[in-house]
Amino acid sequence: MIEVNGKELDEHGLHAKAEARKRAGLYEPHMLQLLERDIVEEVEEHVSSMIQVVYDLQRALEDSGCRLEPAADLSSGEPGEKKRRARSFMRRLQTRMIRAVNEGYVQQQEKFNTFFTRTVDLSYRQLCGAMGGLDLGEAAAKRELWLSMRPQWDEATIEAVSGQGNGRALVVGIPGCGLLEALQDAKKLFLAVDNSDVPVAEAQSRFLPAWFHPQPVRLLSDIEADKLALAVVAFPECLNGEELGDLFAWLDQKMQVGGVALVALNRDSSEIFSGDAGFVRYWPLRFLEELMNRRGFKAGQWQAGEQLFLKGEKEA
Amino acid sequence: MRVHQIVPRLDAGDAVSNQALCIHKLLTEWGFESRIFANGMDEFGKTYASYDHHYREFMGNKDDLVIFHLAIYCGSYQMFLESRNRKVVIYHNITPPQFYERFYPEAAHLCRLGQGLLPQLTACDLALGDSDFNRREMVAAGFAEEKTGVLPINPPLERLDGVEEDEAFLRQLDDGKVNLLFVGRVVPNKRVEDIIKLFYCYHRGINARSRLIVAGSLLNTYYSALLSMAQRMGIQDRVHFLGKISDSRLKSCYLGSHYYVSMSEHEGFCVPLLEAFHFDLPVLAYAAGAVPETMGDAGVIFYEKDYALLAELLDRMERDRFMRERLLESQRLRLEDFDNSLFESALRRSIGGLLGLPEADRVGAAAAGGG
Repeated sequence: MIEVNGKELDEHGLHAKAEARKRAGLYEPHMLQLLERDIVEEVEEHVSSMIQVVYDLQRALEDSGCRLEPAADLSSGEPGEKKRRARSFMRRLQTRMIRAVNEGYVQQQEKFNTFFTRTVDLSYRQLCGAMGGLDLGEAAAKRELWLSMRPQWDEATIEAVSGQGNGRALVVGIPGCGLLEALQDAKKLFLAVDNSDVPVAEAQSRFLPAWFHPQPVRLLSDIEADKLALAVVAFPECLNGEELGDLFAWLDQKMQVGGVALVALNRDSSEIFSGDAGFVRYWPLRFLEELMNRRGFKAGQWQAGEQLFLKGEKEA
Repeated sequence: MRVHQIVPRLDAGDAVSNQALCIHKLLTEWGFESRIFANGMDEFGKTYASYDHHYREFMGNKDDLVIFHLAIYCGSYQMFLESRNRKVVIYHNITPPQFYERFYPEAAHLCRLGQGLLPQLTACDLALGDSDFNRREMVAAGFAEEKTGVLPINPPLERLDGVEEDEAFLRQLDDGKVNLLFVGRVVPNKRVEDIIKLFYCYHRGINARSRLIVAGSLLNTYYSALLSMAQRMGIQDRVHFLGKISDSRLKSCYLGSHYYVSMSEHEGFCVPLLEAFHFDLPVLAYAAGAVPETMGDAGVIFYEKDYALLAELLDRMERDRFMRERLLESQRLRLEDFDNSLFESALRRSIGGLLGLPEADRVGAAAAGGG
């Protein structure tokens, strides 16, 4: 029953229209089945198990007498206060830790990453300040943009890129979740890394294998990657020369013959990347070509959708 | 005389906090010494409240009045039980734990504790629900009916009137698409998945130039499941989760949207319905909990979730200007029942007797109704 302004609505006309639309095929049959689907079915089993295990742990701790949530203010003014506060702090830490996991790995990962990025950012500013060479206000604003902006690729680019390589794919710098999802659907996505926590958190919230690191290439040395057939470097501007060198040295070892490395050529793609003050580096094309050639990749320019790339194919 | 209020948290924009502040303001105007104690608070709350353990120094005075707001389990109930003040409980309802079981067991646990708390608070001088739905739950939990009453929420609608809208965001919304809006925490009892299903029917079957806006803080596991569902339906780029947003952006959401939809299956009052009324958005809401009571004879209330049918109703409202106008008129009329002056008289009627105010009525089931 539907009431409009407190009066029952005659639904016959609406029913007839809805049925006519169904008969006309406007609602796909499998989609009509989705309307009956319970949201709980969308939660993957391993996620539910993790949530339950942590909850059980928390209950077991409380049942055994661990007081996990002390009062907000424990100051009493009595002797031994400092010791009690320390104990209280440890209990709070324990509580927060358990809650961190309990509230969902992804959410906390996002918070941690944000915190970590801010810390790195602060250290950087202090360093710049000690050197006395940069206008911190402007520098901080640019660095913020550099950390946060990740222009997304269009669908044609995503389709063309995800069709490259015949094996596992590595993405360095996340140009939107669309590419990761396309690679995941093609069962290719091995790992995506980025030095911006925003796209990483977004990808993780969709259960895509993505990881944050302020210098993401450093992660790769600890990773075993067999049958790597595609490497996508979406924002080479955000890597320094040493990182680019290390990345291609690593790809030289890990990439299978015939594998493809794509380095996006982003100059002029966005006003955000202003390219000065040492924050964003537009690498000369010749430098990138030479880097690829030296590491056994035959390099040439390649247009996919709206995005221009330097494409390198691994030679025997 | 001193009046103390104990709330679980005092935060900006929170419905329970707003009611505590309204009561605080009126009590101060009436010449009473009023204090708020909270277990936690944000920067905004710190300007009004003290931490709840400071209430201990007032517990022994028989002449004082203490008002305990129950919205979620909070350890400060112990002080309320031990207090020698005269006692009032205001019940804002507690979400049934089963909604949270699969997504957030800790929240389910807190809800169970909160539900268990209600029968322990029956030894009070006055028990108020912010809707009759809540009042009936109190009676079912063992409160004496003659001591219960209704003190409806005083929705802080003027709060948004004084805020500048986010013009850039408003321009983005004003692109010719029909915008459906939901405002509230993205938690399982709000059944946001059902709003997505309705939107799917409207978007795919009737009007492709449409979008769904969901404005409210996100519970991560549930949010991921919603994203997954929207993706499975192929409408992920038309469903926008904004997370917790500023008042400025919230106002833009109301101004830039065309319909407000609620599929919530548990509501103790539901302030966003009245905010939507205030911004002249036709409201379609599922009849659950206190929703029919809050809406009165205004807006669209449905008792079954037939998504295709509701999509057709949206289409009819989009085409039938007369129907839409009548709907908005009745919503404006309903808003008058929640005027500030009515809240003041409702508060005076309900707790005035305990405060010794002259015009106070006897407390009863019909006391202090909001219309």
